[in-house]
Amino acid sequence: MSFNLQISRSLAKNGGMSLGRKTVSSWEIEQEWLEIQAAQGDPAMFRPIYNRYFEQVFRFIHRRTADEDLSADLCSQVFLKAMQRLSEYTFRGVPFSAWLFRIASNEVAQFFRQNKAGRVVSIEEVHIGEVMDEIDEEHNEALRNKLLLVLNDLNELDLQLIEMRFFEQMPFKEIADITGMTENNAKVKVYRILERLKKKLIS
Amino acid sequence: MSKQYDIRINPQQPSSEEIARHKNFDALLEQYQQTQIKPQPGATVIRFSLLMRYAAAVAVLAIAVYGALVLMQPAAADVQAAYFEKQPHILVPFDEPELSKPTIAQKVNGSKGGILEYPSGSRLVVPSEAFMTDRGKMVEGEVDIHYREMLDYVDFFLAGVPMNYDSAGQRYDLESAGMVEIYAEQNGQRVNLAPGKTIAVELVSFILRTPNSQIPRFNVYKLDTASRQWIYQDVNHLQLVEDYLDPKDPAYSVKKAHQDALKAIENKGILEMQAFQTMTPAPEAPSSPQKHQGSHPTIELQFTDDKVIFEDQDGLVNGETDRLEKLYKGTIWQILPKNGALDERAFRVEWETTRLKQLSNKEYELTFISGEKALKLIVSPVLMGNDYEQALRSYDTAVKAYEQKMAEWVRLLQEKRVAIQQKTDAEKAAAQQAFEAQNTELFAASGGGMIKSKVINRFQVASLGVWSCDRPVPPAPKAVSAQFTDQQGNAVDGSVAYVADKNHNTLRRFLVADGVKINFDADSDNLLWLVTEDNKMALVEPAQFRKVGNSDEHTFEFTVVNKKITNEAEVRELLKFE
Repeated sequence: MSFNLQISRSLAKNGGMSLGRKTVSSWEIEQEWLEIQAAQGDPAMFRPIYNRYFEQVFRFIHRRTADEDLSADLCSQVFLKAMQRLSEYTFRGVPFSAWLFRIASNEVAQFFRQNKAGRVVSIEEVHIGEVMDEIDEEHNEALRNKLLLVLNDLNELDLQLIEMRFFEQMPFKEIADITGMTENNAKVKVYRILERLKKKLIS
Repeated sequence: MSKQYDIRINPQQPSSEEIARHKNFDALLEQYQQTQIKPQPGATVIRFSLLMRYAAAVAVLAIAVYGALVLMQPAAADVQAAYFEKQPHILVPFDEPELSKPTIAQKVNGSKGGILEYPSGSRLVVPSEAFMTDRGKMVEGEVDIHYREMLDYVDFFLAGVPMNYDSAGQRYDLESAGMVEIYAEQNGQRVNLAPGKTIAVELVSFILRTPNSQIPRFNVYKLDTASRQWIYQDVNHLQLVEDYLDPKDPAYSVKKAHQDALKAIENKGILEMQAFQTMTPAPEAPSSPQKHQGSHPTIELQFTDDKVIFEDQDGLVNGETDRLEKLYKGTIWQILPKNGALDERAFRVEWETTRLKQLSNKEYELTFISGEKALKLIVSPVLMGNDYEQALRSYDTAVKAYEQKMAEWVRLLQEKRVAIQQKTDAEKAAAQQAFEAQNTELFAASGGGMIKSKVINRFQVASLGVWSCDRPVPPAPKAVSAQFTDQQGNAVDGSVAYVADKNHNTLRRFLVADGVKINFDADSDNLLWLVTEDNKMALVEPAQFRKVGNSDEHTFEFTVVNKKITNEAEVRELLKFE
């Protein structure tokens, strides 16, 4: 029971807030939609959107590749695909960045699939501690190493959720927008994954 | 344990400066534009027929013309640009007021707004308190709304509107689905739209397209006479009303029969898809369990004691009590706050029958009946303690199963849709091919296979002026270095000339000069003309364009029509395609 309470407290703490990112207001999303519509008519108008999101998308990819040149190539592909598909983009009240991250995520997955290699997962040491806190476990070297091993066992979607939530410090709203699930569903899924991780850690 | 990820702790992240070194929007834009120039699969046939007609040399020229600034050599382009920069951006060809496109004036109450209707079927919806003066004062009383439509190349010519569009250094022609000019006056003084107010426009016009083709996407632009360019505003919400066939067209009856046949093929596909959707209903989403809120009163129901009658959303009684008992096992019914204050005496009554009717996923209408007495409550099924925890787990499993079924259902529908679309497209293409093969002569007589489609353009006007529903298209592929003479062989230059073609609703204008490069669509009928100083018109008929063939140089001979132009009808008569 204490485990459940611990999770709930943490979910409540960070539920709708961004830890490392600026939260995008609905007004900003609507303004951005005007820019997107302009770019749908004239590709040159895509420039401000590109400038705004280039670094974020680059970092998103780099965390999954750890290779600067590869990140640059994939990032360029992401924006090219975004421009090519821009006419299909419709306003759904979510930040445009979510769409870009989704394309980026697919591009990275496709690259590693084609090259039959495992993708990179970049973790800051401090965030491992946060995961341990979240599943109510003590911090010690053995458990830390075991956590890294069990993370390696997760399927791609589950790992993505843990990665975005804890290693990239995204709010659930943003995770939901990127993965296309509801915010509540994202929370439930993260909760379930943490439960599984805990079971594996203490087994 | 297999290693499927390369987990790295505290990896080095690039700095913002390092990332910025990889940022290059211009290169991306160029790459994007290159991908756009590649022929689309659907365009292969057209491109192929062009190649067949003009052979490789012309194709190479066409591609070269595409890649470069297309219309003119740098020096000639400079001359052209310098000339037009000195001219008014709206360059009317005739000074006489009766030869400019007239506006229609209608009154609207500035305070109340109103709907204005025009003979073409177009409408303006003017909101209340829509206007203000230059000094920011709200305009009350009657306001004159001046409105005119420009729908075809003759309208564009008489109105003097430019139809070129520059984007990222690339020059395009604007192909139009129609333009409007709107301005407002009170007592002869111009008034403006108040901030935040927009006039809704429904412009009835036409577009030209090849049969069996998708409706092209048009944008909305506003003409900015200060910056001398069209400014993109929005996507045009275009509704196809009907394909318009000209009854005077010699091929009318044949084209009409063909059009009906294509429509029948399309309808067959739609019916097939509808039948499939009926036979393949979407999976039902599971309802998430609700936890009992301690503060709300609850009721327990037993479905198996025959006193509870369950009705579905259509009011039909469902007698499957065992199923319902199973479905609602452990469920208690929470009385929602929206019922207001409850009279506790109601719960001391022995009710004879209880009816439960589902209103939505979460809400039910519960009716207790005893004789003629009835008590209605809005309730919600909730669970407590372990029941809730267990249901939550079952729900999670049910959601997963539902997501799988839903994905499968979407995939099935999509596969079917694609299959039907492919079949429909193939049938339409075969019908089109057979139709074209059987009617070659008729097509030649009626000017190709283009059809006119009546459309309604819907957009919002946030400021008064000239607005258009257009789409940028690359300049026509055939370019020729042109010389111009009159009937006597005298060189002609220094006038503004216009080129229109039958298959594209646009108008290209240029300064007549020796060696100027002009672009035209060699697959279409083209008409070239200018206005002489004494208000006569000089024409080059389509036959001269057909003589250009593979040559990249041509001398066009203007024939002056020895009659002073006095009205629009005369212009239309002269500029019509035979």
